[in-house]
Amino acid sequence: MRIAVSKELCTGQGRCYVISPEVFTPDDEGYCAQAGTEFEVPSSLEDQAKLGVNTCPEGAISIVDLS
Amino acid sequence: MVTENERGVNLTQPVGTGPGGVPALSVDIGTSGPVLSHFEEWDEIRERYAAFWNDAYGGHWVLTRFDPIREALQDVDTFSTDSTIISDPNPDYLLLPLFLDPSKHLKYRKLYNARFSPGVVEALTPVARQACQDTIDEFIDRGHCDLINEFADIYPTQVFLIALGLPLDQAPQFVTWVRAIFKGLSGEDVEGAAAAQGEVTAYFQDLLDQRRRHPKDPETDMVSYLLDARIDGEPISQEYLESMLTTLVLAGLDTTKSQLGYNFHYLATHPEDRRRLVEDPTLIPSAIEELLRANAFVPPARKLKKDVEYEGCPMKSGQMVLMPLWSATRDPRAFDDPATVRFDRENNRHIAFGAGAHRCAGAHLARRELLIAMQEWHKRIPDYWLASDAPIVEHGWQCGLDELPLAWTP
Repeated sequence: MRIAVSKELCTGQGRCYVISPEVFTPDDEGYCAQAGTEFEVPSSLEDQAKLGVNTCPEGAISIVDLS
Repeated sequence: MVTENERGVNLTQPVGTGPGGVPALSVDIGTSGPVLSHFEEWDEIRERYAAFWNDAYGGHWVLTRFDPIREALQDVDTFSTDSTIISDPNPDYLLLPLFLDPSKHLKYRKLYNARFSPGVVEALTPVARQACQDTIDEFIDRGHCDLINEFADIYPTQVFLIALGLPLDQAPQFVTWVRAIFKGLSGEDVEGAAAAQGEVTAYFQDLLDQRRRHPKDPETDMVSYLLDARIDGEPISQEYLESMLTTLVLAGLDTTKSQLGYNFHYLATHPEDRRRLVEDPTLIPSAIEELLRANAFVPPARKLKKDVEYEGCPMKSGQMVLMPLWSATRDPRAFDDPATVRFDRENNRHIAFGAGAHRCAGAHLARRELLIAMQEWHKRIPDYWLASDAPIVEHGWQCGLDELPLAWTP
């Protein structure tokens, strides 16, 4: 699965890296360190990634490719 | 279900039409009512109206649902923070960095992001935990307390002082100031509130003077940190410094007090859910998010910077828009069974801390304060209940409980 984190929308609400710490991490200001990137998520972490997508209050995380 | 509020008024009944033929209501969110009444009233208003003109505080727009509110909060160019005071589109004072326009805001906001980051919050946690334990020590043997006025305002104030690197013996003074200021914001004793706000600013003026002459470590002392900071190579002006520090007080203390009040009111009146937290404290973080969602008591306001047709409303530049967060976070379009508190709720993407560029800068600290409070309290006082049958009163605007008498077996 390929996901993307929008740099424009991320405001550092801090849900993704608390809920799914194996997929997302905080930077020094509390933004998602993965903001502005697109990356592959191994199948073992797909559930965590989906939680991140559904829990971001800004809607900053999206699934780019489900395969 | 509430169709008439305490005044016997049906808030969902239009009083006429507003601009463009949009329904006009007359809803004063500043009134007091029974606990949770503001949220329940708006559960009804939201289902009838996605947006309306409010014939109150000089007249303003209101949005009620999650998606439009979030979108508006994310669109700072249209829904600006030139004013965030619904009754005053042209205030003669500054709440900074909130009022700054997008070209300047982030430069100042970054200073707070760095000082209220998850990493800093982690480092503050042991001292904050000690402050919480010490606060509980004051009343635990008594077997009762007013949670609001003996715990919910004192402990967060101590954490605030810790975060700013200020001595804890200042806590009682800050508690008094914040109580006075927020009484004024809800219309009671407006003069006392203005005086208290003046005293807070004077306190920071004095502190700024002291730190200029004898700087402390900017890593731990907020005032020294702000004095050291450079925006485009320049130091921050005195006016901005005073406003930024005063705004922190306005933003960070009444809020945590209100949230703790709602959390403990829920847990005192729902013993099964309380027992779940006592038996499995790993549930506490999720419970905190759910209680934030169900009781999102802040009603942000924005000033239109351009004309826009939004949710069927012909909004004009210069007009004000109110977006009660509780209406958004209890919207069934965004949350299943939203009026029910479910500690194991998944996909809880609430906006209790707002959304967009002005998302609460203290959110990470607030969450940690709530976590520590729920952990430490339930370790020592796992069983408690409302101390009396007296009605629990909720004030309006930034909603919260006035008092919450709790009792337990010491």
